[in-house]
Amino acid sequence: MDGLDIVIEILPFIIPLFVLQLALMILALVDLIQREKVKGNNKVLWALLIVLVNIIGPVVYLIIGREE
Amino acid sequence: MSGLGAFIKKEIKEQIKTYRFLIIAVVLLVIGLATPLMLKYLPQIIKLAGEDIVIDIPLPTAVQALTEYADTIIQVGVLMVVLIAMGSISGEIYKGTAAMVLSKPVSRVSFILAKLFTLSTSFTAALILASAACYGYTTLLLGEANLAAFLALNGLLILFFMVAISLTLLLSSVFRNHLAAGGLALVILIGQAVMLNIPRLGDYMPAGLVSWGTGLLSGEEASAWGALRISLAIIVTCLYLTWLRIRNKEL
Repeated sequence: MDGLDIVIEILPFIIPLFVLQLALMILALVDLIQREKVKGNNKVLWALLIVLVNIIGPVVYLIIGREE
Repeated sequence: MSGLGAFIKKEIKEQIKTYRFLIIAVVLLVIGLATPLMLKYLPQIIKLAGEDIVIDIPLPTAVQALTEYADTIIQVGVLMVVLIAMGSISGEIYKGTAAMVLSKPVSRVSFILAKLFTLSTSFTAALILASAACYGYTTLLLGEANLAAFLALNGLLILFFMVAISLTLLLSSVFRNHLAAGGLALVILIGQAVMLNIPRLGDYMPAGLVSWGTGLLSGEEASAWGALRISLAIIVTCLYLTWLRIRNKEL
């Protein structure tokens, strides 16, 4: 089995995972944009964390990054 | 226990508004989907990455995938319980929300029970989703596994989550600082998992619930009733101590 065969075989299983991660990232980014205050007062740093650190970035932001 | 229903409603609204339920569900679901997938395809991906490297990895089994899933879900799940519950009582007390809510004719027992109920329900619902996804992927990719044993394992995982939730709620009522409450909760939960290896004493550690569940999957007959009884006792004791802690507190 070569690389392309594996990709084709794995793709239908990967799509739900990809959609979940993307949805969480978009939710975190939309919240970040709309929020006036965030922990540390550095929206750019939070945006980088959300986009670059898969799953963990959005989760950390949504749990501890937001200020009321 | 007046006002329990109203408190639960308030907590559920907050879980939705703060996306907490969504976060728990997505994280657990990702683990549920990724575990069997990684186990099945990782050896092939490693082979593709380095053609000259000869790695003899045996074919993974369905039992292996479900066991791996349970181990990961308990580690990540406990971390999420601590992160989400560590400020839930102290946060409300020091922000003044608790004083506002408890000024109405509602009991403090309801305040604590509503928190335990809502958090436990969120984790249970997320676990059901994740486990269904994991079981589905596992049977598709690696073959059939014992469904009854997997359901029993999930019941034991829920009980373990409830131990972690009640312990974190207690510490959240003791410490004003969220990180202190969360840190100590993690130390205790990791400590009891380490103590699982101590003969005799290990039989009574709540982490024994997870080993019991994964043992059922591989057909072992060993049980951990001691761990189950201790877990129930810890939940009740933690709730009682939390109530004692906030019973006479000036809000």
